[in-house]
Amino acid sequence: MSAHPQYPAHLIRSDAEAIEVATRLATRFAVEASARDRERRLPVAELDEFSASGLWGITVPKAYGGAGVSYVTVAEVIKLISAADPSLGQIPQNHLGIVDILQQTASESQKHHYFEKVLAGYRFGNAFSEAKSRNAGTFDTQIRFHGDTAQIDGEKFYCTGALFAHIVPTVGNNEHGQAFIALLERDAPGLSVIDNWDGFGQRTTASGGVTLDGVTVPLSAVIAAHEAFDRPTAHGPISQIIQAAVDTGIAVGALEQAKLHARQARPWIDSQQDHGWQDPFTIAGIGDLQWRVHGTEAILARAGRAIDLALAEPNEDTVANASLIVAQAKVLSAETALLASSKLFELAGTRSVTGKHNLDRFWRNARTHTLHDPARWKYHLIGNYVLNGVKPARHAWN
Amino acid sequence: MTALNQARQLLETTRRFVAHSDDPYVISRFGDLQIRVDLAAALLERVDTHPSPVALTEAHIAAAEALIAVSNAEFELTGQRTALPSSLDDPLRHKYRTVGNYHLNGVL
Repeated sequence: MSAHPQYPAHLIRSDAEAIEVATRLATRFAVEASARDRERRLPVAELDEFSASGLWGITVPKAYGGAGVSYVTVAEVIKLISAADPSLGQIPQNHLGIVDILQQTASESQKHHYFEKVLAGYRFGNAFSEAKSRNAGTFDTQIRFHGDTAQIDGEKFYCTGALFAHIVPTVGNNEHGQAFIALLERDAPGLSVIDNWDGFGQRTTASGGVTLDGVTVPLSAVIAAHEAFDRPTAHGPISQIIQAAVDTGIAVGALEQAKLHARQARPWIDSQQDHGWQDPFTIAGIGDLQWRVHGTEAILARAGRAIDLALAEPNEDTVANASLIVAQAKVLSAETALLASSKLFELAGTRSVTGKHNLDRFWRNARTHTLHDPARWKYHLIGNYVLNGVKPARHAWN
Repeated sequence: MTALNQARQLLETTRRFVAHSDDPYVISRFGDLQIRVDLAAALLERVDTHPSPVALTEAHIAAAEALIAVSNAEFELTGQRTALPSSLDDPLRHKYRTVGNYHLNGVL
């Protein structure tokens, strides 16, 4: 992958256009989604089409030439793509996060420089997480400043998108433990992307490793990422809503398959019906999944509106509220995606497990992606506010 | 009173009874209940903008499930159980069929 996009990107101008483009792309991406999963075939051509569509630039603010769409729209776009192929839905996750963190913490000249690139079709990957650090929020990777340059050294994992990126935003801590992001060119000397992701789900995200061996960048390519959490900003909720949108998309996709295959199932012998779709328990089972999926979508949209408000009026209360509602979307999307992708088989019967359908990809993808951060702590986050009046901690997972 | 309002009220009286807790299991229990109540509220809001003829039934299911969840938590956390109104004339079990038959078979 070179450090420049192969195709120029279309400029999307409105929320409605973003939804329309995503709907069209999702239909195309759905066609070979199963084959890509089965063969672990990385979606190189699909990603070029995806970013050239303009969808990777829709959150660039209007003042910088973008559409500055609502986060209701962002969530809907990611949901639509993820219903077709959640690996493709997940890959722009960190790209969209970086566009926001630039908006929150970059200088004016950095914003102009990078937003122009985003609108031109440049893709950001990420080298944030580390498999060996003490916990998800700590980084052993170091950034050291020398005059007008900075040097990064370290080892990263779960680097979704890095393999396909033109620019790899990389987190490192300074001597005082403050997190900075260096926007490294994909072909920067000392930067290596390792394609070693072999998870059983989200198989084509290439969420493997990145090593950084004395990578040097000018200060103009470094942002003080910690500032996005030192003061109240919508950055945490923005990072989270994209996760919830991916899982909501998996739930939607799994339910569509459940209905399709349940319609084709044979009637059970004791039901005394002519067709599987007349089975009263199958009908009620679909009804149960359907209201849960619709409810999850409704909460996801609420979360998008809460983020829009936190962006327009950033303060302790609006940001806490966005975190709380996004946490609801996170819990419900994880729950619904896992439920729908499992019940799918119960309602469609044994023939639905045959290899040719590859329907297990929905559960494998749901189980894998919902592990990004544990839903069990979201119940706690919400309850601690409801019961004890404690606002959520501000970090990239809330 | 609607099931949603009753769920909200029961959650509030249970919260006032507990008042404060450092027990992570009690805290997360309230998180779960708040999600169930807000989920029902979001589905009720959705009815206004969504043309689906079963959208209201979906909101009713969510509210009924939220009320049952809150009522169980009330008993668990306060030792008391507020009696719920009878639903014999409008059984929850048939609502899943109504929603499923529409979305699976296009039948109302």
